[in-house]
Amino acid sequence: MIIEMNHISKTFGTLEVLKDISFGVDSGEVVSVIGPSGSGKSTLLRCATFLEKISGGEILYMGERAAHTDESGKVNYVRFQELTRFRSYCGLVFQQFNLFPHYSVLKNLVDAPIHVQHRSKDEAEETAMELLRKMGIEDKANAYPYQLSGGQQQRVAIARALTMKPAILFFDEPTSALDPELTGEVLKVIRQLAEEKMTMVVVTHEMPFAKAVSNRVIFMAKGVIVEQGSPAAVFDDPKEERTKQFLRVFER
Amino acid sequence: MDFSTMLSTMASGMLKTFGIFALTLIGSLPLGMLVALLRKSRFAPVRALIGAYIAVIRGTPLMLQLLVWYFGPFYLLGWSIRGWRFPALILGFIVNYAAYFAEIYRGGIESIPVGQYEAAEVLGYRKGQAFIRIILPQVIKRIMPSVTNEVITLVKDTSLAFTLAYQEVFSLAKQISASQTSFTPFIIAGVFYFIANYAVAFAMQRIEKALNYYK
Amino acid sequence: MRRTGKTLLALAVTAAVFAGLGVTASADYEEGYVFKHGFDLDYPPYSYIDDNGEVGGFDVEMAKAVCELYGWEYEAVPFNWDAKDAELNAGSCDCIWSGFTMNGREDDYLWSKPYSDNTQMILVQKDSGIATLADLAGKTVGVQTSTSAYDLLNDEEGQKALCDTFASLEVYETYTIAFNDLKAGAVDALAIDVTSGNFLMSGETDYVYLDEALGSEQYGIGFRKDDQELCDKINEALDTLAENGTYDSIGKKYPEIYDYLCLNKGEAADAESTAAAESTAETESTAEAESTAE
Repeated sequence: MIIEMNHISKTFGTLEVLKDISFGVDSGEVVSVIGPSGSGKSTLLRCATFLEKISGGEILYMGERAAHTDESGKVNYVRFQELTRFRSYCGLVFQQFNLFPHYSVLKNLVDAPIHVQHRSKDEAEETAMELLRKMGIEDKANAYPYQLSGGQQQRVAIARALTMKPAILFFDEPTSALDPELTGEVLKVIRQLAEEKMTMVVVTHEMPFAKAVSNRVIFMAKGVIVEQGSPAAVFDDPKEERTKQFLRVFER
Repeated sequence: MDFSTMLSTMASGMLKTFGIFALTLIGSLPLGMLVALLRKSRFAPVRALIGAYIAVIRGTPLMLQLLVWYFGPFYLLGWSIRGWRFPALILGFIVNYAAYFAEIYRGGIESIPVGQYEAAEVLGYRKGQAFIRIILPQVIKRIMPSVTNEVITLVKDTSLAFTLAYQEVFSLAKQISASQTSFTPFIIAGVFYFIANYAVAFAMQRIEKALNYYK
Repeated sequence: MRRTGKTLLALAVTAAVFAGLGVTASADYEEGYVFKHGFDLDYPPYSYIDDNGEVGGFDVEMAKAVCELYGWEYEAVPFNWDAKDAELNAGSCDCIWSGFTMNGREDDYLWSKPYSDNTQMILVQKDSGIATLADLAGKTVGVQTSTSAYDLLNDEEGQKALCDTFASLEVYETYTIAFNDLKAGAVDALAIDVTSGNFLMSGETDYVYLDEALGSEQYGIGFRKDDQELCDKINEALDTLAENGTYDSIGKKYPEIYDYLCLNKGEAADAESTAAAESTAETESTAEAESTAE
């Protein structure tokens, strides 16, 4: 298992956003998370990438505990240095890209490897250029984010996450902020990564994509996992009424 | 007094004006950043203290603050204030302008989308690193117009140094005007200020332009 | 002359906070003492920036003469007039010596003997048709803020009643501006200290004072109240300088105020000033001869 999340709960004040969620991802697996908005999908991703602290449960990466709940019910995270190591296992691609506007595309890709991972500039740039080539935007290396289309920006963001060489990559609705005609180029890149056996968890509303690319689909609603299984099982033969209801909306 | 004497006397005043201006900026630009960061401190007493400092500084005239800086050590602490005039003046200006710059910085910092912090965090940047490398450069670009305004105001505010009888260009203009029964010194002072502010505006514009490589 | 009363808000607050505190006088006025002369730099001709761009004026020259007499070191402490009391009490200067009106603040300072008289006058254009104070009824009169003339016109026991007959009293930041308005006809008359008026009018011929004065007063040097020793020393020095002619020769350099210098008066005041007026030409030619010789 790359990541394992057990009995995760998350509350904001009195609002329970995640309720006793457990799930894990194996190496090379591509998991799609679907569900109506407000179902807790994004929060789950943010907890997995340590942007949010869980209110209960435990998180393990590579079988090692990053956070757990003790007997008194208090959540304990590992110390800062160790947490940094855990962070390096995962990457996150945001809905809004969140590229650094004052850095060129190349600098966006190499700054963290050089200043966080202390890799050599040459090696970092070489890796970055290779990734840009793979994303089909090597000619944009010296451009600034504002000069790129949304689709190009999201591809840069994916490349930026990959330069850190994460063991698992999370996507938080990577195409939701894009014009429809631009979603294709981003989905194509993700599909390509899936073929290379990159471990990924994708929160998405692109049902055909989820069906075609993932090994497993998780349907979430109101902070719980309602149903999960192979794409065929979830999409073509859903067991739960809530799932059927949700999927019906997309068929129309 | 002939015109060239007047001009050279006033030029010496302009030099003093520039001294106040430069020292105030050198002190208050960094101090303002420290204040802005402390205002977001995790410790409530620190936040309250900084809040009070900013409220007092913005709520009272600079002229009064200068008087307190100069006379305070004597009247409150009984210290001798010989030779304290210029340091008090500069301190008063720096502490005053730092409060205003702090508020500008705070506005700038708060205008940066939270996604920038999150992207940096996920990439493993330490907090300080993220601030220096990712947040601050964007803040600087955003606050340039407000900073320009404040810097131009400072050029003109230097005339408040007359409160502590420091002979910058405007005090001199008043004094020479009185002794020469003439407006000319004020016109010369006006020209000096205009040139100074023109230079400031030009320099700031260049900086803004240099930061225009991204949006 | 100017400057009684009105202070900045800032000073009021400062004074309120700091009231009652003061430096205690150092008793060491020996040779080598650094004498800190506190004055306002925009009060010509007592203390001002002279034609060479240097600090000068009657009071400054007199203070320097005193220092020379005692072997003291002279230090100019130009201050902001509105902060004069704070400066004096904090010890950043030893005295206020700057055409400083004694009348009305007799109890606020320890005073030297008066060294100059002053009167407040009304200045008008020659052909204005205004000849008496009564003629000012319905006229616009200008005055500089924080001056004795201003205070006089606002004082119930002074000339408030007269002031009430004016169409309006225009208050100016400086007499330089007020005088320009008089020239332009924007005001009909200026209420002004005669010494300031003389200074303004040097080189002008179209203006006259009314014969009646608004009021009169005297200038002295103000010390901290516990500084009797310094006050005595300065009084002694003033006597010496008056006797040895230094006072007179410095005074001659300032014709606008010369007639009002009062240290030698009382004995043979009228005779003295006539003699002095006659000797002015002489002094000047001597000075010329000296500079030629160099």
